[in-house]
Amino acid sequence: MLSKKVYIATDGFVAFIDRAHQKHLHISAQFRYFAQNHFQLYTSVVTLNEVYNDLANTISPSIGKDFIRAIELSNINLLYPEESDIKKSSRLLITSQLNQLTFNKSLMAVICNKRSIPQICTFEYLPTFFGLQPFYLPI
Amino acid sequence: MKSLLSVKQVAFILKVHPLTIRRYIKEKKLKAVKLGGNIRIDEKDLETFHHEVEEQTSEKSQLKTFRKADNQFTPDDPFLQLQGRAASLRL
Repeated sequence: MLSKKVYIATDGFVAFIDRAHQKHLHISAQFRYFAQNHFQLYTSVVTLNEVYNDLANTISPSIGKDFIRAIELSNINLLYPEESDIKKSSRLLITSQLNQLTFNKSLMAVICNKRSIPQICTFEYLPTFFGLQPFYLPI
Repeated sequence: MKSLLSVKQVAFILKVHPLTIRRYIKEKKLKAVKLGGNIRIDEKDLETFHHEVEEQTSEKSQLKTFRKADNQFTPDDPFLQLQGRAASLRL
């Protein structure tokens, strides 16, 4: 059975809010699917910070504030990385030879592995650590 | 007179390796005295240590039991109101 736990990455949030984003319709359908099927959605404070910065820089700071307010009221579960997660992700980043891997992505992989979240809602490059997979809408 | 136990005896009682007992003593988790180069543990100190460990484990298991269940995303979630709220000028 497909797991109902999904981690929302930075581009997932941005594409949902930004209607000019090329994946906006795609992500909107995904969020509707999550809501209808009562999925458990997760994100971390690091991702939250990235989304806020992205929205504030590319759109406007007020949209960034709206996003923070919505997350505060939302049922999206916020994950707080611990010191051990930071250490593990830095080790992962340093030892990995993948150029596209960023600190946020390695931290995301570590957190997902710790909380048994198998799927990530993203359109960007996804590290293949711990059997992580991008979320696809079932047809 | 106090009843004193050796490291081996305490290890046998707690069902751990003697080196674990020595580590507990080094970390000052377990009180011990040195008598002529030999380490001895008072039976009362061992009891106190045992109670402390039991309390810690029960607290941890309580925390696990009371951990809040993860929320589910529903169609009335406030986040959904942000759908297509703005448009950027990305090229």
